[in-house]
Amino acid sequence: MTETEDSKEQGGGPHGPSAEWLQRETAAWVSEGLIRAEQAEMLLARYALAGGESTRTLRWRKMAAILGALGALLIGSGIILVMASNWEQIPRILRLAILIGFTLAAYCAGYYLAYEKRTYTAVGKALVFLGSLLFGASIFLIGQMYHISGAGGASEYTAGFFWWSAGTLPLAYVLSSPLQLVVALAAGTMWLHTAWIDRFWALAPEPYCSWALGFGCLLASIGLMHRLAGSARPRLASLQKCYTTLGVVFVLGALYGLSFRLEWRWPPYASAVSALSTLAGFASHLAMPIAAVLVSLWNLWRGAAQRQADRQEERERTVQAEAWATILLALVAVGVFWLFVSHSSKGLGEPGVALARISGNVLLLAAEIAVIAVGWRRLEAGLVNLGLFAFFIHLMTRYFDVFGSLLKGGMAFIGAGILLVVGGWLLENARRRLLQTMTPRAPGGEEAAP
Amino acid sequence: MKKWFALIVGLQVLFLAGQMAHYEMRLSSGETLRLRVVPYDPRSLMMGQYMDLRYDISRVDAGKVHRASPAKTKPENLSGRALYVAMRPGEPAAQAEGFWLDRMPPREPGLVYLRGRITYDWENETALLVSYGLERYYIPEQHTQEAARLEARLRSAAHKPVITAEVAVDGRGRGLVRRVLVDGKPIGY
Repeated sequence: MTETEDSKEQGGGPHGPSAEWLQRETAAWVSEGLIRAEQAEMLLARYALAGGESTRTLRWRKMAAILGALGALLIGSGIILVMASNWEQIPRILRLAILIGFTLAAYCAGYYLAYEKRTYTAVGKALVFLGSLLFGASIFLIGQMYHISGAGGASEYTAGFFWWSAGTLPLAYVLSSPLQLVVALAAGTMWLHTAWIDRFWALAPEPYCSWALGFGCLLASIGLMHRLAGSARPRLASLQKCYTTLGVVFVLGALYGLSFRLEWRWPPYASAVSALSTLAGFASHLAMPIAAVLVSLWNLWRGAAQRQADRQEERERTVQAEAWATILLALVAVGVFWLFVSHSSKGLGEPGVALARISGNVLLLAAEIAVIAVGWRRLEAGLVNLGLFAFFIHLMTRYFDVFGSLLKGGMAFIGAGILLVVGGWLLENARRRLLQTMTPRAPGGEEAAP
Repeated sequence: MKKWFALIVGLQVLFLAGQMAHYEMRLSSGETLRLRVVPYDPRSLMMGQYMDLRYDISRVDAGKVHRASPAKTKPENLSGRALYVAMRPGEPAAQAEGFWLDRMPPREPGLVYLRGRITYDWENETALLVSYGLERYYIPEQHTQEAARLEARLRSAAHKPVITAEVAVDGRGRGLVRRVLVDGKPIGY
């Protein structure tokens, strides 16, 4: 820390009205999406306005949280391995007591440190995270005691993932803990894959991509719902990032799958057409995009209502764009499903296959740019990185797996590049026009700092 | 917040205890069957920390299944559906007397009905591969060498041992492995 920083954090910063102004303004900047909550806290800490925290202690707090979470993962894995390998001599009831004891100890110690005493918040949260891992591990270790088999997607085994998710999800909301939500979403996703999707859809890539796209849209729309609800209940906003990130991963992954040359028919080894005709098969598939559309419509309505209350038109426009993009992608998921079901016996034919592949690539490129844009707009570096990573993988894949020939591949690259350059030029033009309209009002429109 | 946290954690603990009680009840009250374990390809009984068990009823001729119309007995068309096997208990192992699709048939005295699920068989396209949730028998780490020796005997000895799994079957046809026996004697792990 420099001498200047020290002097500001030790009392040389703003006092009285200036301090109140800074606190009020940083809160406004966060709500307007200009800076992240962590950045606001850093700014306040720089002027000793963050409840005794300094910029250095805040950095350490984050590091302690990361170390704690990693430590909890290691301890959880270790306990699972030790118990799974070497405890046959212990009676079953005692094994249950040991499992419950470890789980309860992690939960209670974690809660005491993080939420009661609040002295070791990061370590406490890591211990509660460990408790959730141990709860899931206990479910499967009890199953192992009774030789419950996971072979063939047996329902008794896969149900363990459901109960793990169902038991952890309420904790995520009660504690406003993204770590618990990560556990709940990971277990829930595993359950959906092992219990439903493997049975009906994993036999061919097209229906799986369609399902994954719908699932991603649903998660992303739930993320946006939490973001909107976060303005009234800030605790919900802390959970939105988990839903959004996992949703974006599924959307980009599904579109990446659709960007390849697919046959659009059941492969010879899996002509499981009967799966398509079952009610459960349809329900498991269409439920995701339908739910995503419904949640997005709710988001549109909620966004409009908040606009009337807050008069934040910029934010309303972003919400509208995200909600409509989700609805569009959910409809694409339904379209892919319909296309596969209607052509799965005979295939799509060469022109149809080529058109589907080009559409998949265009959609993926559009989604990558949209994710980067949303990341910039929300100041979420994770989303920007995710979009850039997907773009890089997409580019590399198409570079080595060109559309038929080097000439066609080169033309596709040039065409996509021209589109992006033209898009950038149009955006720059729009920005300049906006600047021109704002310039006369700027001097009187700013609120002067005291 | 503290009350909600305590309630959720309490429910988690109750769930774990209930899960164990549920399995114990099924083990103690279920009807007993001995299923013959058969080798299969790849012929490896040991899969790390558990035995990978296959039974003589794990592969079923699709034509023998009741309630399946002849046009739809292609194994790939039946994948994912439930199959009930009527088993007559006996020594050294129970015998299958019939296979029913989707629903358990009316009970007959002396028969035990075991529920399985049809999965796609990548190796054999003419038969159904049925999973009963009884395909794993977890063994403690210190006994893995003994289990490996048993596997070697199964492959090479002139007198191949008869391996059976003793299973408890509840009223809904769900099975749980109680123990594994070699030539009628339970293995000690």
